[in-house]
Amino acid sequence: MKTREEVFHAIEAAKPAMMKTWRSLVDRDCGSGNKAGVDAVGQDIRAFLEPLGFTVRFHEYEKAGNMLVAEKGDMTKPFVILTGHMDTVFADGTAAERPFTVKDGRVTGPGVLDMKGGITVMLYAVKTLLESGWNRYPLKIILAGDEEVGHGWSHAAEDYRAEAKGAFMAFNYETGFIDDGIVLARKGCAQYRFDFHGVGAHAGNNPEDGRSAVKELCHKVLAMEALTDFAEGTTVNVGVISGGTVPNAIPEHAWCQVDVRFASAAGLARVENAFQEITDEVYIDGVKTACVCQIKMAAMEKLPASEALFEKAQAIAKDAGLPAMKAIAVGGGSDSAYLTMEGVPTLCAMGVKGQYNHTVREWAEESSLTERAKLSAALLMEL
Amino acid sequence: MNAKDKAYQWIDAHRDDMVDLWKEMVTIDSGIGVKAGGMAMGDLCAGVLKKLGFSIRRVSYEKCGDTIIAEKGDMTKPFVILMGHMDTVFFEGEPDRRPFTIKDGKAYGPGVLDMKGGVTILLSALRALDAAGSLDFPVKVILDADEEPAHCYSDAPALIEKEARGAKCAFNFETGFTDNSLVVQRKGCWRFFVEVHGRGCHVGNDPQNGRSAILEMAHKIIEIEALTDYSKEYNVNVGTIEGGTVANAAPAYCRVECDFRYTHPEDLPVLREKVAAVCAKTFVPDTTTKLTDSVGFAVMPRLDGNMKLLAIAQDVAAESGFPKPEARLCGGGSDAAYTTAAGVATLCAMGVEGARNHTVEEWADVESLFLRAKQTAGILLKVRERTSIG
Repeated sequence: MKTREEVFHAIEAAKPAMMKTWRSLVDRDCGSGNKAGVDAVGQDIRAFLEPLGFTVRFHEYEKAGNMLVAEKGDMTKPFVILTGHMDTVFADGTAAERPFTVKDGRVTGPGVLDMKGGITVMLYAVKTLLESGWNRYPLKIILAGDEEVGHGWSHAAEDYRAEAKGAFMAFNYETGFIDDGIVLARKGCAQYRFDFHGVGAHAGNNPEDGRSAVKELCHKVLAMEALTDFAEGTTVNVGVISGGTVPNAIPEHAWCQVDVRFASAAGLARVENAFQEITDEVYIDGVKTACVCQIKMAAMEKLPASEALFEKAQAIAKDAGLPAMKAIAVGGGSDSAYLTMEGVPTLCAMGVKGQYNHTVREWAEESSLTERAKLSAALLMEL
Repeated sequence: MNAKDKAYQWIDAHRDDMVDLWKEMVTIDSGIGVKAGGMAMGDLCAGVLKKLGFSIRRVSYEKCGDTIIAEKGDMTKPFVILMGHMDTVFFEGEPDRRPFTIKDGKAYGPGVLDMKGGVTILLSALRALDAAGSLDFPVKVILDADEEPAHCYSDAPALIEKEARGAKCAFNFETGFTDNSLVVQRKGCWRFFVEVHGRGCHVGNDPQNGRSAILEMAHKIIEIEALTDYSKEYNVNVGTIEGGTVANAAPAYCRVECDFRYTHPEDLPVLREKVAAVCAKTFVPDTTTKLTDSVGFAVMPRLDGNMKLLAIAQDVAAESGFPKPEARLCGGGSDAAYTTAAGVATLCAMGVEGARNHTVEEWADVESLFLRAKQTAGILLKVRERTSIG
């Protein structure tokens, strides 16, 4: 096995090849809705990994991009997961409009940051290590094909959790932060629509026959908003509200949309139990309440084991002369949620660093490509 | 044959003419903001009245049809007011979409009930009295063209009150009720907007910075709705609410429109103060609240004279074998508020009978067009002799 310095040197030497791979991953349309485009990325990655000794298989989905699973080593033993996703948020045609471009150390193009750069980092960290005689742990690479749509068109979320069983640590090569933040926790997000059906009446002629849906809604807004608990990491926001048709009619119908962010599944469970009670409760006799969950994305919970993993990683990075990292918690979701749900300590946002993903301003720092590959290589050698 | 029988006979003989006039009115598009239609209605009504010997005055406005004031007889003597409005609540083009139709004894079309049927009755009763040789007492007809939007385009409320001075009684040919009741009292209505400005934020990234306008509004609505007191004959309704833009942002803005109905004019200033006090409170720090008046209308108080007019209507019904009209307190407003404001005894809801006004299901009972015209002629013959209602 080569030394850390030798491995880092090999990564520097591989930079032209890495840039070529990164470019080839960006210059193609593979938005979440373009299954053929995403599946083609999967085949290219398979062609990259098989010569390195990986066994590659796919979870196939009818409407969404397939999920790639590549394994190397004795998978009955505790293994390491390296993960990410192959789809982007961009529409077909974007690759031709805004191809991979490098200018003044910044790289642009659809998905350059989120997360084609991260895939490149992962592939070359693994390639360099394997070619350097690394053989410490079994490896499992999982690349989803429909992360940007929350796996709404497939059962990839369930497959993900099943694949995660047996892992002892995981790195997710999601969008890296320019301040070297490494994500240990992400809030989950759920959205609900409440509908309130009362009884209409004329405000002048028979107001006493009316049962105001707006009034019921207001009582319940208070109850819902009171569920916010910043200390627990749970927020409940009644974001949109609408009701009634004209001022002179007792409003028959009203609705609201509610967003819930939660740091833990327990926080969500508390809110959902309360929502059930709020739905059943009747403040204004004769008004019925219905609640439907519209979106639910799990939280990446902060595991003590993830914090311990980060502390070790931080020491290794320091020793290797790499930038000091900081542990952060963010509001937006990723597939890391499914890893922490299985109790796997996970470091997320290990990909190339940059800003403004999901927009045309998306950019990635060119120098972070090799820097982050070195970080991953060092961690896999020494953790 | 007495005058009443002659008038009734004229009505029986002119059923088709009356329906034709009704149809002509419904066909005219005098919906909200359609000035040309309001003018056309004025021309039609003024034409009928001119033929009966009325002299016509027209008061013009920029954005709605003229108010028609038609007079006949010696106006220095106590006169009778017959009144109504010529506009409807519908949007331009409604008569093309839903033309006047009669099916199974019910008439349909925009304003068929509210209140082109009533205007038809008003004009037909005058024609019947004229035919009976009894249109020999001072009468003033007042027809305006922006009642539905609460006279936001005209000065009709002040004008009606001014024109009503010197009258002995007034009849408003608003939407009639199917139980034959006549309106002797109407609630007033104060409408207002409440707006709350808070502070938006992304709930994922910096939830602590949000100040929810919806939460602030919810607190206020609960307190505003709690002002309803049926024992004091007033009630408030938060009728519409809109707030926020997307679920994942704290809502920076929320607005409601409220409708306060009250029976006693002296309650209005008290209610205004109570609502202002709720708006002045702050439940969610850093939010601001604004209270703005919207359109509204005044109370039609139950004057003693209103009840005397009702008694006259009941006598006519008894003598003619019509169903007995009972007194009704109505929650909705009308121009009758402005004649009673001048102290003139008024009966309202003298128009054609039906239901569902302000909706596309609006319908009117065709037979009531004739019966109500007779009832009006009968009542006018009784008040004709009196110098005052007492």
